[in-house]
Amino acid sequence: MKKVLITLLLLFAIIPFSVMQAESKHVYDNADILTESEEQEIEQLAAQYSEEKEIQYIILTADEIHLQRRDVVKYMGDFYDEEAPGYDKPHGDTAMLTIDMENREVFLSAFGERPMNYLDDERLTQIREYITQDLTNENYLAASKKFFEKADRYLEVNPIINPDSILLKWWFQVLIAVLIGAVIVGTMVFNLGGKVTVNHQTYFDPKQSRIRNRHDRYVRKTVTRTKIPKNNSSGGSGGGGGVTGGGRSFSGSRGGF
Amino acid sequence: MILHYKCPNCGSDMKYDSESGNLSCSSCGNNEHIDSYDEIHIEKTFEEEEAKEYQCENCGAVVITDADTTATSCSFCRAPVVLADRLSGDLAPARVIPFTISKEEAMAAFKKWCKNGRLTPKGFMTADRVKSVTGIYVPFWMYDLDNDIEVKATGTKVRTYTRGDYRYTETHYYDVYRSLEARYVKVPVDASEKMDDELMDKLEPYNYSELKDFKTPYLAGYLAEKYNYTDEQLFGRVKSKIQSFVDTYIKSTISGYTSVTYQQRDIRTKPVNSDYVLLPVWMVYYDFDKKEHTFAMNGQTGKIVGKPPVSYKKVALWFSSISASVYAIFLIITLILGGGY
Repeated sequence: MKKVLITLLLLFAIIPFSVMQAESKHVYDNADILTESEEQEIEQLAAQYSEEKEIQYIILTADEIHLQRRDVVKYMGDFYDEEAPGYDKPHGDTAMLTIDMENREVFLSAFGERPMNYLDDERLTQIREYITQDLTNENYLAASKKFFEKADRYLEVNPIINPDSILLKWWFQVLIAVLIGAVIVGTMVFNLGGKVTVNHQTYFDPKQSRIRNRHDRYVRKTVTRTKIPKNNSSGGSGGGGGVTGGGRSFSGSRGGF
Repeated sequence: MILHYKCPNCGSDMKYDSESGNLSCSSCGNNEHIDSYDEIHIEKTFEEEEAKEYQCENCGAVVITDADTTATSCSFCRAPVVLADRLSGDLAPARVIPFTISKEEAMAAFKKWCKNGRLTPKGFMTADRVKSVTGIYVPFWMYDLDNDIEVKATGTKVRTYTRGDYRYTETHYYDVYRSLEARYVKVPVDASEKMDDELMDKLEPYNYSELKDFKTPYLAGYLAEKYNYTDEQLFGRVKSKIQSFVDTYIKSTISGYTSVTYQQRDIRTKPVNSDYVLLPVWMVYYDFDKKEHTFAMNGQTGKIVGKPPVSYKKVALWFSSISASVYAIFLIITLILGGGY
């Protein structure tokens, strides 16, 4: 009897948790900019990608009513504090795409140690710039899809290198490999007949060489100045990470669309 | 005048031995130091001036030489012969570096070099078709050159810094002046018409500590040539040879600048001294694929120069394997970083 009771208790303890996991939501379309079918499709994709990289993807949209005069970053932070999303635990690993329809601003953010490392401000900015055009065209489905795809790939690439770096492109690597091969073999062919092994010091007699006279006179100076360009491409500001009202830090990138 | 070096012991002909640095007799094994070798044993025969035919004192055969030869061996009895009249007066060499590498060592070194030929055809690597290996004392002019240099230039030092929203580039201009004296000593230039200049230049450097005062016995057993060009005729060549050295020297005295633009560069090169010297070279003639390939080996240091044939198959193989392995390394790094395409 006692055993049955414990088993039942355990079951009750597990069920709500697993149910909550299964029901964990990825799309919060508060601004109602997605159709029913779009929402479903994104939800499904998000669940897939979330499982694969063990991170919770969230698409959050807001309009005037939901924002309540809050800034998009503040709104996103409050959402995270209240809803406590996360793949591993509440307030856990999360990657969010927040769309502010009132001010037409977008904010990408990542919570948790690993996501903040792999999706730092710089990388989030790259993703944001990649999806801004779709947002401008009001193609929110495509933007969400691209957000998942990019973030998914970036989560694989070591933070020490820019994932979009030309160094990681296969054609560039082939080109460099071919160049190195050509230079080495070219040098081998060139040196086939023997190298010249004398240099300027071979016959130089330092005892009978000298600097008879020298001067280095300062004549004038010129100063030119150039304005440092601000890297605020695609209209919005660069933004960056920060801390939520609840004291949880995140990496981020902000921009208009 | 034709010289034979007779062995004081047995009377055979002696020749220079690169290993001991002495005259040695192949019949009785006697060694004679060049400095102490008694001139009584030098057999001299006088011939008509500028003759091209000499008579071997040993066997009486006619020694036919070409006009530049100063040492050879009798084609009939192989006795080493030195043609002294072509080594005297204006034609007397001041100094000589004797051979330190024997014919056998030269051949062995050449075979080894061929075996290491990474781009040469397989058939070439065995070195089994070497036609001849000949030790030649090649005539060189050795110049001591004094360079009087005057340089005027503008040097700039560039500093960049940021203040507020601006990046400032500050360029300081300097008036640079140098008056220099650069001395180059014992710069060799080959004075033989027959020898390829590029080949001879690549044979350098020689070790000058073994530079000896010239004595005819060093030539016994080798071929030797007299110069075809005088030191004056070759002055232009030696000047162009040291040009890059002088440029490097000038640059070394102007340091600390971001950029240097020359306004004026006067280089006056004056010959201080020029010596006629004989330097040892092993010439290797190799028949391969119906073509004769010529190689030269520094008879003192063993450095080998000369263009061997190239196997395009091997070039392609090297190229593709280097490129493929470099790409493989890139691929591995990419995979480690997680940046798979």
